[in-house]
Parts: sequence; structure tokens; C-alpha cells
Amino acid sequence: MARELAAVEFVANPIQRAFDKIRNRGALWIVRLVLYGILVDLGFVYFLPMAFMVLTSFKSPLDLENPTVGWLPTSLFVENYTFAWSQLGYGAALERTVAFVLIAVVGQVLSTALVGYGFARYSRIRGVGILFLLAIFTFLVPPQTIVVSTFLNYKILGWLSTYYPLTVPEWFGQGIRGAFFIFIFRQAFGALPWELEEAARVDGATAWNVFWRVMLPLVRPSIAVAFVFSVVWHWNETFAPSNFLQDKYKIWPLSLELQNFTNQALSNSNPLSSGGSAGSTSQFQQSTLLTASSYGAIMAASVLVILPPLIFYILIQRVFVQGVERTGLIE
Amino acid sequence: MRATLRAMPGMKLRAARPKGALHRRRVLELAFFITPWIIGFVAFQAYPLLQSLQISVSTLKFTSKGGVSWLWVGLANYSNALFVDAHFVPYLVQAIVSTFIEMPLILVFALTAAIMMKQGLWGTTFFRGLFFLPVVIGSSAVMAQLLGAGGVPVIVQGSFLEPIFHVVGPTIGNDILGVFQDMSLVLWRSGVQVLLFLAGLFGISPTYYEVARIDGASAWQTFLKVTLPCLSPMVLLVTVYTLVDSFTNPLTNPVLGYIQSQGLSGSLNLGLAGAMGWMYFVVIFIILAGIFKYAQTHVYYAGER
Repeated sequence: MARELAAVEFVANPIQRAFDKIRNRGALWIVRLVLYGILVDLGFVYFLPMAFMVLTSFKSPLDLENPTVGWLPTSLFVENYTFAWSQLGYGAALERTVAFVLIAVVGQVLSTALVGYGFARYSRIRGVGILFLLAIFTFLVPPQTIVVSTFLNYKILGWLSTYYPLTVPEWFGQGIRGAFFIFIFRQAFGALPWELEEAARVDGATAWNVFWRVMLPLVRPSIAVAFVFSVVWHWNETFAPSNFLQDKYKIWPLSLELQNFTNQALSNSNPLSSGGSAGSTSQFQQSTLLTASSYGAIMAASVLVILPPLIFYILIQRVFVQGVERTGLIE
Repeated sequence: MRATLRAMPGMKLRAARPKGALHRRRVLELAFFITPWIIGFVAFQAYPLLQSLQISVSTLKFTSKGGVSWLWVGLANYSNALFVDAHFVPYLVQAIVSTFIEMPLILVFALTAAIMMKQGLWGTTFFRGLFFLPVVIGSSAVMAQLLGAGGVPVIVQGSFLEPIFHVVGPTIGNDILGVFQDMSLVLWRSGVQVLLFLAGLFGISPTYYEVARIDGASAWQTFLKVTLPCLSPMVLLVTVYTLVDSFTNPLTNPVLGYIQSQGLSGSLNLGLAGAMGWMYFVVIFIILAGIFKYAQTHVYYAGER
């Protein structure tokens, strides 16, 4: 570490002196202005596709075919939303998806926190390192490459066309990027000072109490971040549901409904392209005829699907910034 | 005298036994914490992994009754992938090179963005919301829609880039656009990293900063001596995530798509696809192992001793 720091300092000291000079002149607001400029610039890159999506979702077929209409629709064409709503079966699908995501996410965050704690705080016991590397290995094997065997596995268990394959592995530290969440918690717990644990032990706390009452509250930012990622990734997941729920479209989550709707709309508007893999399975939606200008409806459906996680994030993001309490140690 | 002689072995025993018992207790505690994962691994991961390993040393044969069976072919699939297949190795090299070009960009950008957002500038809540957009949109089919619907027109039309496009003409304009396109893709793929760094930054105890301030450290020194060491576990995490994400992203990585096309093509060459997959994982794993080896001596865990 020391050698790297020396190297960094060698490069950075002139920069630092320049910064100090700026501060001495009292021109800190210039730095702030530059920071704002960069933030606004980056925000623009993120904001543009979102704005495009929302604005297009309000365009009528006439607007979409009219080349003189730019970004702004001439009028708010709400029919896109009513159409997308009915095609997605939004009310019922939303309920299903929220229930499924909640069950999966709570299990995944709890179990991976537990396992990550074990990997972080007991790393000196022989064999733990190898087990952890095994966990990391499962992280880099994409589910797509082992889907045939996974499918057979669930078939033997009789779990096909149910939500078990999408929720039960989550309670055992698996599921979508489960090993990554274990890794998040291992890093977070590993950064907590040893003296904390020791003090709790001296006071007679059991291992479980040290984990649950002392350590877990201190990694709250990591819990929040794991929770958010898990929610979003489960919400948007189409691969596992399309393989394990298959054509039981009555229990499809929103992600799959959106994929199906999009495939339908695109294949109907363009006779040359074949329907998507999931598109041909649902009979009751195939009767709907869509035209080339159904693009607005696709965008409306997309907005409807990503709106819930967006609202959820806005509500939970304050936890990120609360930071941790002081650890109560005198260093 | 006799008493002391008798007591001494006893004392030794008492000194030795708690150590063994303590170790045993810690192993039990460890078992309690990681058992869920072991169960999950054995139940849901081990069998598919082992079977794909078996497939990679076999070839699929359709029997006369319409069934299928696996024929053991040894390492033939592996040598075919390495020496016969014209695309696998170049794709692999391309994936590794592009990953190592992108990774530093993403890391530096994500860390900078996270630090900027921690400064408490006016409107950071808004920016934090904005930086979440790539996470929620990027992981969905919507992203594919947007990019498939022509990411470039979306970015050019009506934006500040349009005049540039008209002035320099389409030839150079397309090059410039390509750069912007690449850059915005890099930015789009760093949403997760920004949030991870942000969580890491807020996880650093304020006590350290207080001490640094009292000791008269400058902002830069504080960054170097407090923020970076405390953040180093998070840097390792973000590095590994970026690497794996880049290697396993079916949208941007040529290797995975190629492997899947081998397995699902008319020849249904699942054995070859399996062999390619395993070699690919092993290559990524070796790179990861190197990173972990380096991290062992360069990442600071306060809880380690």
C-alpha cells in the first residue's frame, strides 16, 4: 500500500497545490460551477433516453408518422396508456409482480447478509477462502449457459410453471446474482472494526446477537444498496420467468408481459420479422392487431413497467445518505 | 511441591483447552452463517454445473428410438474450440481487451461521480435519482428497445450534437458519434458502480474525517489517507462486478452470443458450446483470482487480524 501511495502522491502533489491555491484565492465557487457542469452533462446522457421514452409514449400514430413533429407530441395521446394498461393486464400483473419480488428480495438480502457475514468475519478459518472463491465462480457463470440442466433440475422437483424456481433459491443465497450480494456484504462486514465484535463478546453477546444487533445496523448503506439492486433485477428479469413459467401467461410477472407485448407489437407491425420466443405462446394476446405506429404504446407500456421501481427508489434513497452512526470507538 | 507439580499439568491443560474449544466454537458459528449458501449451492447450482461440465466432454447422439445419449469424447471439444474454430479465440481476445479498456474508465468515472454526489451540493437528491435511471432501465428489455430503436438517432436528434453533425459532414460525424456512443454506453453501464461507491462512502465512519480535520489534513490528503483505504474493499467489489458484468453481458459481449449460437445452431453442438463456456469461465476466473491475490495485500479490512 505504502509504495502505491507514494507514487500517487508524486503525481498528485502538484495538483493538490493548485487546488490549495484556488482555495486561497477564495474562488471555490468556480470549482463548484465546474462540478455542476459535469453533473448536468452526465445527467443529460441519462435523462435523454428517459425523456425520449416518456415523450414518445404520448405521441399519437399521426405524430409518429409526421416527420415535422420533433420531440414534443402535438397533443397528449393518452390512448397509448389505456391500450398498454389493458394489454399488460396491469392491475393484476402488478400485484403478482410486487408479491413475487418482495418474497424473493427479502429472502435474498437476509440470506446473503448472513452468508456474507460468515465469509467476512471468519475468514481466518481454513477452507473459507476456497468456499468464497467457489461462490464467486457461480457469479461469473451466466444462468443462460446452464439453463438446460437447471430446467431439468426444477422439472424433477416439480417446480415448473410455479414461482418456486424464482423465489426459493433466493432464500439460500442464490438467485439472480446471489453471489454478488454475498460479496457486497462480505466487503461491508469486513470493513467493520474488530474491537466492536470483541467488546460485544466480552459483554456476553452470542454470535447471532453480534451479527443481528451490533453489525447489521452498521452496514445499513450496503443493505439499502443490495435491496435496491435486488428489487430492480428481479423486477426486470425475463430470462428465468420465461424459462420456468413458460406459457402459463396467467401468472406472468410484468417483465414478461412487457416482453410479450413488445414482441407482439413489433412482429405485427413488421411482417418480415418473426415473433419473439415468448411472443408466440400466448394465444389470447395474438388476436390483437397492431400497426407500425404502435411504437407509442410500446413506450407507454415501458413507462408503466419501470415506474414502480423508480418510485420505490425515490422513497428508499434517503437511507443511502443517512450514513452510519459513529461506531463508538476511540481510535 | 507435590501440589505444584500436580497443578502444573492441569494448568497447561486449562490453558490449551479453551483455545481448542474456542476454535471449535468459531467453526460452528461459521457453519451456522454459511449453511444456507451451502444448501443452496448443492441444491440449485452444483448439479447444473457438473452436468454442463459433463456435456463439455461429450457429444450428443440421437438414438434410433428418437432419444438422445451422450458419447464420451474426451477433450476433443476443447481442442476443437481452441484450434479448429476460427472465431472463438479472436472473440475471446477481443472481449478481454475491450474489458480492460473499459474497466478503468468505468471505475474512475463511478468514483468521481459518487464523490461529487456526496459533497452535498444543491440538488444532489435529484442527481442521485438521475444516476439510478441506468440501473432500472439498463437491466430491462426497455434498454434493448431504446438502443435497438436507434440509440444514435435518439442521442443526435434535437440534441447539442446535431449542429456538429451538420458542420463536419457524415463521415467524420459518424466517427465522432461513435465515440460519443461508446462513451454514453460506458456511462450507462456505470450506474450500479456509482451506487456501490456511494454506499461505501457513506459507510465510512465520520470519526476518521474528524480526526483528519483536527490534525489539519488537506482535502487531498484526507482523500488519500482516509477515503481510499476505507473504500478499498468497495473498490475490489466494484472491480469484480465491472469485470463480470462486462464478460457476461449478452448485449455487448461477442463471446457469449457466439457460444449460444454454437449450442443452438443446426448442428446442435452442445458439447462444443459447453467446452467453450468452461474455457471462458476459467479464463475469467484466472483474471479474477489474480485480482483477489493482489487485493489480499492491498485492501484494508478493519475487521481483519
